[in-house]
Amino acid sequence: MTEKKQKDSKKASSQSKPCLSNQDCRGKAVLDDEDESENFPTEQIRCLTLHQQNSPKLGESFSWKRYKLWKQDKYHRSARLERQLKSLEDRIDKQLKRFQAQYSRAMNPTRPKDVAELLMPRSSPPLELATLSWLGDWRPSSILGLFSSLIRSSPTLASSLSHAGATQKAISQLIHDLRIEEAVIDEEMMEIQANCILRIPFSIANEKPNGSTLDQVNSELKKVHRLIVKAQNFRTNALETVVKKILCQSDAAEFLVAFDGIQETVHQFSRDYKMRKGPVSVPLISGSEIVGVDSGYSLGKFL
Amino acid sequence: MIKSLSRKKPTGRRRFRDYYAIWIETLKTIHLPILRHHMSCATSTSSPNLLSAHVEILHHHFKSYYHNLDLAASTDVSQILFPVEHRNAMELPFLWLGDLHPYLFTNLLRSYLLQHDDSFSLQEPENEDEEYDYQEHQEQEIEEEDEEEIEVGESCEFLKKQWPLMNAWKIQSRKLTTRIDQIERGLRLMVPALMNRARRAQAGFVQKVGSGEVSAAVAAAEMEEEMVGIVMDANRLRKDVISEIVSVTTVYQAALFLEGLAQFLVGIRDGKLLQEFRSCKSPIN
Repeated sequence: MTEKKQKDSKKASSQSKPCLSNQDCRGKAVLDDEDESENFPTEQIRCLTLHQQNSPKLGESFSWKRYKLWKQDKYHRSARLERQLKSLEDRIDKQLKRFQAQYSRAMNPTRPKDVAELLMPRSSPPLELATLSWLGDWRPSSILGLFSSLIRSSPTLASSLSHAGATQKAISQLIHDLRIEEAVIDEEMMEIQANCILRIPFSIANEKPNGSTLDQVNSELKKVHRLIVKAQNFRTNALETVVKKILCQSDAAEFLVAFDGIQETVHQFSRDYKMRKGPVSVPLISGSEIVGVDSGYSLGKFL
Repeated sequence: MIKSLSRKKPTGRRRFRDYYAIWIETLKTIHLPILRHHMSCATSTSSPNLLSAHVEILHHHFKSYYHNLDLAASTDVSQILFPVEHRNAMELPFLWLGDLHPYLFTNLLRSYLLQHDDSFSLQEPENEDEEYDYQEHQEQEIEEEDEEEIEVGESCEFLKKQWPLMNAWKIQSRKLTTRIDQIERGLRLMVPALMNRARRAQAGFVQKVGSGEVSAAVAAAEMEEEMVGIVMDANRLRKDVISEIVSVTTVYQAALFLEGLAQFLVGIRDGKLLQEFRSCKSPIN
């Protein structure tokens, strides 16, 4: 009874954290592929359709029966290929959905205290957030940036793009546009951060908090939440653009694997890093005598 | 300087979380009440010198915080950028690069001036003083920055005779607004530059790892180094803006400014409010 309960709760927890289970699922998916077929790798898919090994050579005599056999064989092979392509497509969709689910967390009912969690999820170590995160997850422009650097480093990916040069140009344009969108969101976020002291009424020396203070906090957080949703939409769009619009199936799969791989790597070493560093600390006596020596430098330059 | 300091004290560290808790507690239970006490007395009987001394103490309290924030950032910048350990869920969304946004300081100051601007227009204009300020401002504008600072003692004498605390924002408002304009112009250059640096550091990381140039760990170390610089520059900006404001305002203005700032920091950590906040179930979307 209790065992069953435990199992159920395990199940539930793994379902509720799609981002954590990504790697496992990916690993499993790879295994499945190997089981199903030895011909699966994408290069061979192309080869097979072009030069069939059993195709009759010119000048060779062959009987009608052999031809029929060959045709049947060809039919079976292409049917199998079609199934494989379909299953690859399904897997890509599944993986994409997983990311979409992760990116649309903010669409779920969000309590005021959840806003901080969306911005700085505790499941991600601080270093992971510092390296990759903007408003809680990947920068949309970084998703395309990763794609762009993958093209440059991987010749197979580059050569498979029909118009590599044009694509590269289109991606640069997209990155540029996304950065503008990010800057707009940054600007709005900054407006909230710069004015919170005026909008949240602490300045009056009131001893006990009243309802209006909390209302004010919540209304500011509502604005932040709106920006998080905006950011998540850009993120989802960026990923969909790469996977669905720019890349063909096999390359999309390759990209998703790399995308997930980087996240996993960063997550791992950030976790190790945090374990190694421990909580951040300062010297017990931090020499307040030297405080103030260096003030007035940077602003002075501009004023 | 930081290195030589840490060499002197190789042992004896405490978690930044504890440091910040104590810092806030000192602000809440010692500095803020004393400041308020002197503010309420200064207008009538007690000497403004006491107030000015306490403004300095409070200012120093802020400076020492930023000094420690720098030390902490050089230990592990990621925990300062994402301070989930020492800041609560109500504060976190309002933080920029690990602490208050520098615009917040100038905005707070502006709000005092604006508040007063309204009531000022209703009253009779204080021509004499305004003219005096304006001239002084004109004379000093070309001169060295340091000389533009107000002699705290001098202005106190002046204030003691003529101005109660509640009128603090009437005085030298033109000179002050010019100065805030300058500070804000500086910030408008430097804040976006810092944001860009942070963005480029992250983009650089993805690019390096994506292209396989270096391992993720090496790329992260490089990015971390850049982030330490960014956070320290942001801290310097915050510290400088506070110092500029304290130096350019009169002692009463500085006292009101620091009081407002301290009250915000203390208020957003208020236990009861936080409890209400945490138990708030109604979704905001």
